Amino acid sequence: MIFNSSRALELLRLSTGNPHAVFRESQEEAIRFLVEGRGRLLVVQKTGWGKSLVYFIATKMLRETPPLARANGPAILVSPLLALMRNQIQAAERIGVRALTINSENEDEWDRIERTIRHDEVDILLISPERLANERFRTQVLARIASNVSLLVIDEAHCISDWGHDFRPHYRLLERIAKALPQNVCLLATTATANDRVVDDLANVLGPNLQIQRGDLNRPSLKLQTIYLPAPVDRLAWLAEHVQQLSGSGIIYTLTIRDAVQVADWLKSRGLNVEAYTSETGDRRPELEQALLENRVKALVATTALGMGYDKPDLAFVIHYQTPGSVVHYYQQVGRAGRAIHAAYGVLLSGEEEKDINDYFIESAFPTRPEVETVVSALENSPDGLSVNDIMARINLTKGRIQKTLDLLSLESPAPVLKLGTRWQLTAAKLSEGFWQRANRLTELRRAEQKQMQDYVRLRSGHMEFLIRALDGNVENLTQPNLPDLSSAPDQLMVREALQFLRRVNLPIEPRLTWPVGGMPVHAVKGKIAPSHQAAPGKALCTWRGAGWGELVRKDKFAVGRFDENLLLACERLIREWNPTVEWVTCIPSLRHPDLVPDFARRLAERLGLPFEVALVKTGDRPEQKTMANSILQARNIDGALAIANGPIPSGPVLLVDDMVDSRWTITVASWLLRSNGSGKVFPFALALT
Amino acid sequence: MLSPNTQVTLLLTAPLITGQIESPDQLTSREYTKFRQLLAQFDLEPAVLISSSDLPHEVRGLVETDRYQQLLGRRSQLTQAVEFWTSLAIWVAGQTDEQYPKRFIEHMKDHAPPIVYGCGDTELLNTGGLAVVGSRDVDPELVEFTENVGRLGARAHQTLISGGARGIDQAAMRGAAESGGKVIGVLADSLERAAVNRGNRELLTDSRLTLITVFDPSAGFNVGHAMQRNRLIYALGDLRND
Repeated sequence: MIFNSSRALELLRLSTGNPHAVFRESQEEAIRFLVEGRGRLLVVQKTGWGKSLVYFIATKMLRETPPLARANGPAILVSPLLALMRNQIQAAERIGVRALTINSENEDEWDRIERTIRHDEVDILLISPERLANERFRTQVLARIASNVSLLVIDEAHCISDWGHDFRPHYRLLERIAKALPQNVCLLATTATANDRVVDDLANVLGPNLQIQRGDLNRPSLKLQTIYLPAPVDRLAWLAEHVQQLSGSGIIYTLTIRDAVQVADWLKSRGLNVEAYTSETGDRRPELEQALLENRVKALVATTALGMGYDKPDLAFVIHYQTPGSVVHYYQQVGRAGRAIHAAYGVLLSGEEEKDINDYFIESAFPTRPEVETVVSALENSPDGLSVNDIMARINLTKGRIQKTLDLLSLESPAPVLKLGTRWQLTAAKLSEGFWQRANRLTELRRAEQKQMQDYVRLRSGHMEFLIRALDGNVENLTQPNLPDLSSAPDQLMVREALQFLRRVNLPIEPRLTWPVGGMPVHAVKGKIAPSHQAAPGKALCTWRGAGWGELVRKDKFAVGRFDENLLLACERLIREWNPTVEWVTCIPSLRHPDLVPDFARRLAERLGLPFEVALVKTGDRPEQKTMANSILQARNIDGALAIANGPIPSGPVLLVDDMVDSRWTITVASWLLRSNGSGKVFPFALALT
Repeated sequence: MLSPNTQVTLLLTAPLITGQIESPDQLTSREYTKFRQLLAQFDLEPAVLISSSDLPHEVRGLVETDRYQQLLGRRSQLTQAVEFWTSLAIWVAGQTDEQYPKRFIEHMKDHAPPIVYGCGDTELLNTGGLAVVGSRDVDPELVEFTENVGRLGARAHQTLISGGARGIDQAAMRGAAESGGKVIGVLADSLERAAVNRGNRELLTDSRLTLITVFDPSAGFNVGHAMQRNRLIYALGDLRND
């Protein structure tokens, strides 16, 4: 097909809404390559270059003038983070590209979408790599259209490479599909960051004739800086001071959801207009993205949930509260700043807790050999297969670990386990040694990447050069904007404020509404817990070992054996502010530490001016709840372990005190027992949530 | 990864059952044999249909018909079917592949099945052995007798080959397996289910059982298929010393 250059430009101007827009370097070249059907193309261009324009315009051109003797069906786009493509989809719609997505969240629309596809009324179908593992998708959708797909787009293609920083197991399915496609199929793979090793690997996977188009990695508008501040309070103080002073709006990245929420709460308490943005933000995500786009918030405090595909040309700063796991992650995140403005800050704060967090991410990425053996042997003993809940009741692993083990095993080829309906079965295949070799290689690679980031943190100058070298880019002619370094020392008054803040936060304890799968055999209960017997919403003072009170709780519990006066005062203040209507206080009994919690609960009751009553007793010694890895085992472990003490139970509402709350089964059973025996509402209160 | 020859053969002859996709009319064994003979005249193999655009006139005439085009257009369906089989540890072999049972070619010549699907060790298929075929509905006495036949075969270190159906087939296979013998099941249907059947798992992973079929692994029971597969059992079951 002859490429119509003026039509391409017309589409560009329509989709950007800018009548004077022109193509950026090599965008037009990439579109031409695809439209002329010259084969498979890998585009390595930094975020913001406009990859989505390339594939949407190519899709439009392929669909409106179907080339002779070539497939003319819809394009398929595989991307790991579809939720963040809303902006691009709008741009696609402006040039009349009908884009539809099939994902786990729109299951009720699948029938309608499948019909639309059958009637050839979709131009581009957007799916996540996980969708490729879904049998319904494969048989009902993919099988019908795949032979006629006009263009296959693999977004974030580095995820295919197990040399990549961000290897995703489901992308292995894509590798097999890409390999089996006819050589002449139009394929576009895109990534923002791929070093030589990843590019070689992609050429290997996506075909020998893969054309590679590589852009420049330099970001002359970015002023990069690193500051080591081990204690969280110091970093909170630094943020409160500097975010205020920076012009424009930006993103503050944290490694965990908990940190994102805490940093956002802190900055809000200092009067800053910020919001947390995490995978738990749910329906508010589009609204928050829009607010940042329009500079209606100073910053979003985000996890990587705000990531690939988010494009705000005038983002003025990206600050990291903790060091990310690799240069590639860091470059991608910091590279969101300063795309279309002359100067922007990229500041990396580094703290003492980040190593543990990154270690955890690295170590939990793959199941261990014992985990695989445990799961396989549970299945071996159950010829009819097991659901995940069945497995949880049989082995001491968390639901997450069980699910991860099954998912990864089922993506092997041949796969040692297989899901038939809702049950997992063993197949006749054994797990190959290659699985472990791959796991080890990735773990080592991630360790090296983590080490490289530690080197980056220590840099005094040459930050951009360091990043570009690490990505095998060209380091000639690097320039940076004329911005001053930000001060690296936090204000000591602000540090004290931050400490006060951390000590004031408290956490909700949500009541459980149903008994575990399979019920509680000893208490003879199952299904839903009657609302009249549920716990009321409760509170905890802090997170176990967290910033604020967490460390003190741990020390008092294990080293001192008594919770000190400061904790008591903090709890009293919390409860007075919370103000649950309670008439008496009781606590969870323990055989292991018989006095610790009762002593504390008694002192707390005294301060609150309420009577303390022993209402519950332990019926026998059980293993500690924390040794039970999953919720079903934790529930079974507590089943029958508590009973009502002799003597009448006061009929008023009660404050139920415990030191640590983990699975919430103990307080659920205790509340149920108290209410069954005549008490009023039960308000749980704990020193720490684990 | 499938050899190009086998890919073309599957495209032309196999139903490639994945989901409820209606499949075009595949070549019958006879048609496939004719197609192979035509290629052989030009010293060509099936793979040329995907690897070369420069076909002799006679071959092109055939390949350009709608029926061939439709069949060969099922690339992605093939990929998915292969993905699915692989996930169940099912392999697939065409006549030019190493895993393909050599006895089929030797004994069946032009009637050798174009495609064999299987699960388990392919070496077992070249050992020859004792073939047992028989009725599904039999009385307990005959079952016991047949189990003994299986045991006897095992003790003589002969592979036992049968059809995996209820009645005589299963009795013979059970007898052999229980006595530590090696067993081949030549199935008429549902390889997909047999491959994940837990009773078979240990035997399959220990290389003591190999299941094969010439019908799509998802295909259900069909009287015609059940009859056709008996000659495959005979073909595997010769007791030469090789």
